[in-house]
Amino acid sequence: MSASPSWRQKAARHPVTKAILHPAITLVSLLILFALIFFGTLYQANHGLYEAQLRFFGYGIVPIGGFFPLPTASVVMWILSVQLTLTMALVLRWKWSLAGLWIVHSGIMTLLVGGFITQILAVESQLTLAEGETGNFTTAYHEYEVAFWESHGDTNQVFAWEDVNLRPGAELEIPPYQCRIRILNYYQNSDAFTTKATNGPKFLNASNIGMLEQRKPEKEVTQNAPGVTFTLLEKGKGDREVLLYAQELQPLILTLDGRKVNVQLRLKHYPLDFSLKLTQFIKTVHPGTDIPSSFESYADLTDQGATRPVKIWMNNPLRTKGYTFFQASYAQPAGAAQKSTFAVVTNPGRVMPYISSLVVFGGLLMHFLIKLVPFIRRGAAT
Amino acid sequence: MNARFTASLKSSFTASYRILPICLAFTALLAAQTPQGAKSGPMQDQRFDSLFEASHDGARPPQGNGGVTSEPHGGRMPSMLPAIGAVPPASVKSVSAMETVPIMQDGRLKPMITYARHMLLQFSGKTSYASQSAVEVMAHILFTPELTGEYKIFLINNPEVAEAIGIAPEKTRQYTFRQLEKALPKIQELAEKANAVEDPKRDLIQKEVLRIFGNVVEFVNLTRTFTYALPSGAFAVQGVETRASLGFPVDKTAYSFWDLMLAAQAIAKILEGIGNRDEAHRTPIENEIIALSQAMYFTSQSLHPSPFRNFPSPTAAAGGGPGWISPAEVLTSPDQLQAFRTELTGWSDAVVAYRKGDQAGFDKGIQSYLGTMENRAYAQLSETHFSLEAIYQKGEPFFWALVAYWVALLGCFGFFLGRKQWMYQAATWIFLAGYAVHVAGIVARILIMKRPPVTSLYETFPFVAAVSILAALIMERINVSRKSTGQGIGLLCASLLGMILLSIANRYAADGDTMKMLVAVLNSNFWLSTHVVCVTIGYSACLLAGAIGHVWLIRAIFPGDASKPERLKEIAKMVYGTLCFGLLFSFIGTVLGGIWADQSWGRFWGWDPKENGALLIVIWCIILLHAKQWGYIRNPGLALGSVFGAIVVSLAWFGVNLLNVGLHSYGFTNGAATKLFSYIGGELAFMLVTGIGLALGWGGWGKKPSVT
Repeated sequence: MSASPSWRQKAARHPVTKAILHPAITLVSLLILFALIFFGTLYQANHGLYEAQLRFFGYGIVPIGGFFPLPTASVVMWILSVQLTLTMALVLRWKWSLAGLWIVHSGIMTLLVGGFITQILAVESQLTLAEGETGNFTTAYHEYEVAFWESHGDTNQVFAWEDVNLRPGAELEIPPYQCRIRILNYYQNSDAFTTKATNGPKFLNASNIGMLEQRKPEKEVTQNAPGVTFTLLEKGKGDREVLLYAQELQPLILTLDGRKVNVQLRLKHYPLDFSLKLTQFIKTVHPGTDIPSSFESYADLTDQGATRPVKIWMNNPLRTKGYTFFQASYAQPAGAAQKSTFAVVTNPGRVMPYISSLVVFGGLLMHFLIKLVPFIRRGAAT
Repeated sequence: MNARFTASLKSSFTASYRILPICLAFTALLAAQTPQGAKSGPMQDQRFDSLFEASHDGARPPQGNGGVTSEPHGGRMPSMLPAIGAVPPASVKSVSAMETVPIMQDGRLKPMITYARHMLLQFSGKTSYASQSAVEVMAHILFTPELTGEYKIFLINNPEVAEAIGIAPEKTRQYTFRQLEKALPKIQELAEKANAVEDPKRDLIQKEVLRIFGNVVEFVNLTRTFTYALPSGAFAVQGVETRASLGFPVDKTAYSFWDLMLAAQAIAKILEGIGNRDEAHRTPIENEIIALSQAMYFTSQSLHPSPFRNFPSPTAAAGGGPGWISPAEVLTSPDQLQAFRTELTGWSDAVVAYRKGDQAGFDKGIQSYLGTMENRAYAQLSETHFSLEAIYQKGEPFFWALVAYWVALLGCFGFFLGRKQWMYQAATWIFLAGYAVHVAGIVARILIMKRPPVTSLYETFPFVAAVSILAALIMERINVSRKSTGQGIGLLCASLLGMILLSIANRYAADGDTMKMLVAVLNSNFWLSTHVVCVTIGYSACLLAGAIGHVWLIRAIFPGDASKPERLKEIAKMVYGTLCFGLLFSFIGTVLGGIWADQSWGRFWGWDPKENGALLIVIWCIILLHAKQWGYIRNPGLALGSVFGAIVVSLAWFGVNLLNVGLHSYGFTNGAATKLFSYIGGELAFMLVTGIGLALGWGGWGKKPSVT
């Protein structure tokens, strides 16, 4: 950094840099962030976490109290990140007395980078297994997909379109079966009726659903029941209207390209390249109370033919091949096998906060000591 | 209403369905004498009657025994308490032998003294009654229940509730069991209605009714805990020969269930000898023995499990269920009865001795129970610190620390007014003595619970107080060594914070046992001692900064001498330094929280209200420190900002619990919302007034110091 001080100084003195790095922008950004978190938290109490996250912490502009527009948290974080990067690259002088500040701000950078990686790359899903059941894929919490597959015993080749693509009018290719679908409607939350709409088409459906009606999204996003209607376009055949509803238990079976194909609107699946079999779930409570003292799942993990026993319990997740399995929930249905639910996460950025917390802590401590010691030594004379 | 109380209420509710309807049906039957009542038949009558009898020690007048009457208070309505005999029972001078009797409650093994204090606190809002300690009151309820009907130990906070249940409101707001007993049908009716409403939707009156109902049920259950050892009309042995055949003293008629149990072999032998002979062909002795054994059977069928669980049951523990059971649960199971014979006899002897006023006999009985029981539950008991807990309970460290802080606060004011060094010294030493007690209390809790002292909202108050005081004291020490004009400010803030935070803590303590077991996710000492401790240290520092900010603002708007500008500068430096300290710990605590969340929930950050609260503190500190550094604000802004910081802390600390969402929402008391909002309102008004004052130049602010 000291190699080209003149270059740094020139860039730092440039009016554009000065404008970007104006301290008022930093302070205002921080104040906005403060307001966003405050109002976002209040909003969450009434509208649920998912809505609050979309509204306050994503990208865009949010009207506070219905009229006062503020940029959302991700936007503000970008502004602050750019300022921080430029400050460190151009402005912050290197002095031993400022070493603490350098360390602190590099730690903050690490944290922001980690946050960004997590935002882009982390995948959260879940896996629910009954005792004795084996799972080799996890499911999303609330993202859906329209999936096409043929049943061939254990191994299925699945082709799927994610819900974000299911916009009315969109034409989507299904290459394995040489056909296309044209989306008529996609509802994030809907009610299903067995009656047919008066002038609507006759839909193909596995559960005799005749029509869907849009509903207001639920406060808890996982409670939404999406539905989709589309036209199936296959060469040399007449168009077919299809209706799929998220709460259907059976897939619709269609003949496509001369083959019998299952079609279903389902929570998005994430395949695992190993399998997990739940052998036992144990919940213990503090004696004489209903306060749980621990939840423990015992499972067999099979990877490339080798099986080993694993234990997953509170605060002690299973980490394997980039996946982390957390004990998240359980069900003890009367007269049936107990079920255990794992939150499954892959997050390439997960070590960043660990590093940054150490770095920032060290930096802050160093900086304050550098300031405090002379302050005490100096006495009240200054 | 806290979770533990709700849980206990729920369990007492189920228990109440076993006792109260029976009692009430019986009461109604006697009182109304309606045709239906008559039609219900002798069988049913007798069933109610015998149940009632068995558990109430002589509600039915036994033949030929004038000592017991069936007409206590309230005319025809029989009391749920036993009647007072011709010779009222005595009591022993000291029940200290009982203090460390282990009681299992809410998943935790606790000494009797803790249990008794929380019981009394829950009943009456106090930890003693009429200069009797909680354990003494407990002893009366357990051993001489007939004398406790007139104890004013039931608190009804709201006069409207008293009126609603048909009791004339009293100024002291304390009522007796006799008063409540008369209102019981009404209380039960209202409690059932209130219970049908979901907890968050209940209004204050409904909550109060449920609390009172739960207390009455618990009280009644306690009075019945040792009925097995109390001499009862039902077990009076009239025939002299019968007594002889059972090996009882010839000159005594009154016996207890347990006396007969101890003679069970002799009874069984006589019963076997009867064979198939009908009543006409039996001897009077045989007939009396049959009557006695029937009474024993009815009694054993009608013993109610009491909250008083003090018998370590190896069989019950194996199933993962309650490892500790109440005397009634022991008595209703033949196996347990046999196994716990020594302990039951020990208690029985203690009860009898207590009622005679025989101190030695009482102590011996308890010791006999303790000795056998301790061998049985050695492993479990070796993990407890009962004597330390008893000292903690009796010593009330946080209360005495609070008193010391009050005195020190007054001393500080005295010092600021008169600038007398002796006053400063006295305040300091009193403060330090209080602080030592305060810290000892926290250390005792760590030892007793074997976990960091930050696991409940209650616990964070003494801890935050201790940390902020420590920071203030360090600051004070630095100032004194620098011969700064800020001498005494640290002490003042320390006393203020200690006083406020411990007062809040004492309020919370009224909710019941403050040492609770932890839900699974919190059950990690590593994360508790890193994340939670760091966050609470962050709270402490920001609160301290806020406190010093108050001092700065107040001093700034009032006129002072020539040293005022210099003093203000010193105080502002303290605010700045403390905020740095606060930022350090808030930041690290927040990130550690993220890491814990990553470890146990699978995500680093989830915009959970508690997480957001912590982040608000961090951002606010960053804003203040940067604004000051870059010259956007000066000392007045810093002081005002630090006061606002204290508001942010109050929101993050317990304000977010009001939202009732998220993964961190454990424990919040009613009415706290109003207090929190009035606190915030007060602070904002303070900021407004001092801000305007500074702008208008009150106290000479903004003018150049005059040259002297």
